[in-house]
Amino acid sequence: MIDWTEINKSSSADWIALAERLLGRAQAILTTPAPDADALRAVQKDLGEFVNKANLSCPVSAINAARRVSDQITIFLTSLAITDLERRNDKLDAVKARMSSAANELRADAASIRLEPIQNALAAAIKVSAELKGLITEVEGIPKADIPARISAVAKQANRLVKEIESGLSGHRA
Amino acid sequence: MRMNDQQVETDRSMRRTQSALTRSRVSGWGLLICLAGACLAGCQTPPDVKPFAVATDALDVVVRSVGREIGNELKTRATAEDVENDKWAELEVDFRTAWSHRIAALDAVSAYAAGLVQVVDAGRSGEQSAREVLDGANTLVSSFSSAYPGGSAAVELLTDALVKSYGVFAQDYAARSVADAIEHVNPAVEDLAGILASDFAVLEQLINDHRNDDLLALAAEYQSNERRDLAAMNSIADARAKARDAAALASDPEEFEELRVIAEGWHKLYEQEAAAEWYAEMTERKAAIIRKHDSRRDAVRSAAATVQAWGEAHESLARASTTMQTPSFAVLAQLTTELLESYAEMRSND
Repeated sequence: MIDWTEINKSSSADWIALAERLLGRAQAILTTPAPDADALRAVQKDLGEFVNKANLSCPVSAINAARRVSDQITIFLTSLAITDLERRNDKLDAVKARMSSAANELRADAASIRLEPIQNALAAAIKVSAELKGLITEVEGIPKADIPARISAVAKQANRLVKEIESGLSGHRA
Repeated sequence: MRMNDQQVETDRSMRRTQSALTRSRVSGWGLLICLAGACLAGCQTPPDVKPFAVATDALDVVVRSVGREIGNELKTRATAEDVENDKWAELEVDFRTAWSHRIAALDAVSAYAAGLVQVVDAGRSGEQSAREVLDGANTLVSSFSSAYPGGSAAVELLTDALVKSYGVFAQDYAARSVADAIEHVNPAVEDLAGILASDFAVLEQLINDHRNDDLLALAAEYQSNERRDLAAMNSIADARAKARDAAALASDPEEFEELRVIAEGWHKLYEQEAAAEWYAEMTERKAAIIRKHDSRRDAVRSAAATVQAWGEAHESLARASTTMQTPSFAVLAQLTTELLESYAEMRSND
């Protein structure tokens, strides 16, 4: 906190001396191995007071220097905050993995309860049934020589549909 | 106390075993076949999980939005006319990367909460699902044989009984699924609530730091070589204070009157400056800076309060899986509403 009773506000020298004191305090903190964030905030508060109260006796260069140091302090404090956030990233990744796995299980359970695999299997089975009926009708009307090829084609199709049924049911959580 | 703990653990263990047995039986057609015996041990209904899901979505939106706001703030600083541009650009990337871990975790929690709702909804519409399956089976069987007595009274009775049984079974299965999931992820939810609480505290401080820096930068702008408006006004205020102090100390009435007039003159000049266009502009810009940062801070504070209630709500759901009672979400609902209001306020100050 600035003691304004010690400052002659009409003296440029006093303004410069005050600015140098504040900047010196900031530099001393910033150059320590583990700068004290709260001490830096206190300096930034004083710098704000300095800039807000400066009058025409205060050189613009002192204001600009205060502005630059405040920016450096803010950069440091922002960097500190980001480092703090980064420290928890791994834990968050673990939470995400656990929650994603639970979400997938719940989705599968919801599908099971809605009987979706069974409904899909039934739909495929109804399709097979229709194909087989069609085959019976078709076989009656085509030349004998073409029957094996037609049966083979429909058998392939039926096989594919049966696989659909199987895959529908295997999607159902056991 | 020890007995109670043992009892709870035994209950949980029994539920897990029962659940595992139930699940092992619910593959394919077995799901319908096992209906009759499935609920002999006592059927359950799932709790109402929607308030928890709504609060999770609100948190997800606000966390995403606050992160975007802070990221944009750093970007603005990186693109401003400043010697430290590169450093700010680096910080922007670092912040967005760190914040993306929060968004990813909350997205996963949102998916989990949506999964809870899906299971509960599926349990509640179990009868309808069973009806659809039986209708499909009727279609299939009748496509093979026209002799199938699909519309006979006996079959209708059997179908209705199956549908109703499945409805009860589906609710029970959903309740067990939800209880298992909640119990399984509760430690992760607790971890996340703790992490977000720490993150919000860091963000609140960061927002405050940026607010102070912005206010200083604004004042410095009105102290620059181009415009020393604020410096001039401060000089006037200092001269007025000096004259007033001198007048207060004057013992001679004539001297006092002279100094009073001088102080009055400075005061008039001060009032002129205070009514000047530049001062109104500076005051408006200052208010806008304060509004912007304060609305962000309020959103973060609101999110911090909500995340605590959110973690507690999940814990209540975990307890409810033992007692089979839906807990009260009144506090969570209230905080969610306040969170969304803070969010809207923050967006309106962008």
